[in-house]
Amino acid sequence: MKKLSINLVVLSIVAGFIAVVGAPLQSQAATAAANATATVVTPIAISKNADLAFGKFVANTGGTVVISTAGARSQTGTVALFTQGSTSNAASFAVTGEGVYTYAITLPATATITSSANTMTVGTFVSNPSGTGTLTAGAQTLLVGGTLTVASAQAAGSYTGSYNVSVDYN
Amino acid sequence: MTRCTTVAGLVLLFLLPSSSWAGISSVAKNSNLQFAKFVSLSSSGSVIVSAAGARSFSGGLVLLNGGTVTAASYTMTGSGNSNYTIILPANNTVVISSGGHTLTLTNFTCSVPLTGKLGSGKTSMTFTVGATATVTANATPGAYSGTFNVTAN
Repeated sequence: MKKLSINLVVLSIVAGFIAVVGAPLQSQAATAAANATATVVTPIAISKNADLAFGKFVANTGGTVVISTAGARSQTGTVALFTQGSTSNAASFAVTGEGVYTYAITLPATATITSSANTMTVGTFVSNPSGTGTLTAGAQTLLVGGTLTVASAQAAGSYTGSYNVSVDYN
Repeated sequence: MTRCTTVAGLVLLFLLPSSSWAGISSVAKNSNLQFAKFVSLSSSGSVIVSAAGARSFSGGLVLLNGGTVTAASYTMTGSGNSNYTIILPANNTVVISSGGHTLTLTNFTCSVPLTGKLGSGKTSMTFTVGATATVTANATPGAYSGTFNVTAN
């Protein structure tokens, strides 16, 4: 009988310790989980597939040669478009990046093309899409046209120059 | 004698938990931590969401708009004006992943002091948590996610 009572005392003390140690951990520490998320987006890139070509023409007393984004060529003034052996087309760029993102297109104001010391100016750049593009499935073709200003009796020659087209995510 | 000690033990059992109840009893999450969208460039960088929910960056990154940036938000509840201690994750212990790729979170920050009192007559307090996502150079594009724990007692 004495032994039993001692065992019960021990049990009671053990129970007391569990209460002391266990209670603060269970009732006073509370934890909540949260999600952390981040989206790494594919960098946007642009590469040239085709140059802007105004083709061949005779200047006469001057005017302009216009290439539309569709690659159609037209003229103003007295410029006479020459078709024999002439290739004209809009510039074409491949824009790649993250699917279904939109991007802003920045065209140059003007560009100069030269042949020896002679120059002509390309202006009124246009693009399709214009202003804002959309990377459906992560890619889009960007077409760029422009207007070439031809002076009266512009010196004959093969004129070349370069310009930059920029794209950036909106 | 036997009855006496058993009763004493039971009294101990009931008294101790109730006397130690004065503290934080629960923490509930209100919103997740969102770094939103960015481009990783050819050098490493980091994206920081402050505890106030403001996003900034350093290094080879470009932050993009069009996503939702939020600090994580929690409400802890306890007895009136009880003391509290908030435990944030340690540095480099939380990763978020996309496929087999990971970003590591460091420098967790909190909108309130990590120890304090709920305030006179108050039984709850809402706080927000920010962190820094370390982004390796040319990090693989994707939607990264993971979880982390915040504890209050």
